[in-house]
Amino acid sequence: MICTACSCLCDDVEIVDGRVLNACQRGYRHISRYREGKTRPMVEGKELDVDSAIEAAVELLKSAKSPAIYGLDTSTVEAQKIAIEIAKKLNCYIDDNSSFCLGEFVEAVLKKEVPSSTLDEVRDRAYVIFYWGTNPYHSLPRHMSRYAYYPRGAKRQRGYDEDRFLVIVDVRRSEAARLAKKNAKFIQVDNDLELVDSFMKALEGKAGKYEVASILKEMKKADFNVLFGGLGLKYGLRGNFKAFYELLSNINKFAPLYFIPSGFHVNMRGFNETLFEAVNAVNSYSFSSAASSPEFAFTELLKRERIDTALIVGTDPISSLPLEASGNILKLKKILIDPRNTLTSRIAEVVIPSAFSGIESGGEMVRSDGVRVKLKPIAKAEVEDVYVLKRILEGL
Amino acid sequence: MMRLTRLMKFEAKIVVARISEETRKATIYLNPEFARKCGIREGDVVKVSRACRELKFKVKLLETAPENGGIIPNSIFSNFLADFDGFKSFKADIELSEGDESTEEDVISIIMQKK
Repeated sequence: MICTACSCLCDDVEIVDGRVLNACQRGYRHISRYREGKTRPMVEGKELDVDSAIEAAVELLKSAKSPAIYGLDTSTVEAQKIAIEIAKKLNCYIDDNSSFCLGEFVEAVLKKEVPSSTLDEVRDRAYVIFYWGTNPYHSLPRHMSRYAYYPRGAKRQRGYDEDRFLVIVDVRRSEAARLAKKNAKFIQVDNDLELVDSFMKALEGKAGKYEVASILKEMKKADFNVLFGGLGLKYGLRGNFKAFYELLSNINKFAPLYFIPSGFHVNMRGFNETLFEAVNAVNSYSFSSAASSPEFAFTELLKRERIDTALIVGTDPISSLPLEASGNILKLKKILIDPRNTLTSRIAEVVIPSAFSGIESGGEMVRSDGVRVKLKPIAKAEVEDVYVLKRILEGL
Repeated sequence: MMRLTRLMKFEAKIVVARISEETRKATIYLNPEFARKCGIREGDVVKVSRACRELKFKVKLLETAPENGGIIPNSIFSNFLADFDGFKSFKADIELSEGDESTEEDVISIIMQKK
């Protein structure tokens, strides 16, 4: 089966006699516990059947003055497409977690503002491998062993301690940073922009705050180097993405360096690509304004109290958003589609159960590097996102 | 006997990160050396406060936590203290506390009051 615990979408996980094999700790938990804590269809705190909950959701959306659709990063591409149709029909906002996660990076990749590649190419060819602002040990547990640093690739046959050069950039000596020993470098940053500046200076032969000329020298030895950028990098750049993209561009004049955003929800990139194909924007889109804008991000809509109803799919904003945004969720009418009981399911006016994508329902997802993957479910749920969203679309 | 550090408050760098160990409890992973300097031990309950908000956390020690503070796993607890300017890391005050760590219900009830 395909593991849908994270955006690596590992395709070698097997279920043998009820045992989950090859999965990491995160994947094991995701797959082995999918039957636990399932939601029941609820309307205003009363348990009803699924059809009644869907009808209640339709009525709420019909009566909404300013609705938004939010989440969808654990849904399949097929479900995301229907959600976009619903947003179009309602002439409303649509957004996912990428507006406060790595949406800017994925957008730069999709618009070809930065050179990117696939994990398969990384495995076969990469020499210098950066993890900047991401700790794969916890967030993507098999990333280094299956796709990047440890495997012997077609053009990297001599093993990681000879044929790879690892660079870890983090604000702390993380578990991944502790692996940076032979043929490796750990850079502990206080300010990521100072590191960007150090690289820019090193390219001009000048010294900066951090010693990085040795890394550039290593990169020059190879025809393929890669930088995995995570949430620590995004927030470390303090909105100055231009400086980072300029750095990537300048490094590429010196030595090849590909960029792959890393460490996000399992199908966040799927949502970004699906919306991009539909409206040329990756998130924070208003069909009413026919535009994408940071002020249309779900978090901003909450902060500015610009919406009265939210259709939330497969995410738990009460738990995952800072108080300045989550504090206003209670003021909305909330329709939640989710297979699992969450803090948001406790406060939603309408709860509609669904399936765990990849375990109980099939479809397509997009890996963090843009490779499309067909899911191979091992069970079948009574209802799943596509069914529920289709019914809502029809009801509208 | 009362611990002297119970009367003291320490500034800490808090990093918000994913931790594989599964917990829905309020846990803070402090750097062992930082905890030693602050007189905090594994299993203690500490109050973490920032921007007029505070929660109580159970302390665990972790070598990979930042030297001058700790890690709070990405959760309702970290997000209660964070804002978008300090979504991945922020400075907070830490002091020894009594009683149990905060629960999800505690946070929900604060959010409900905000409504």
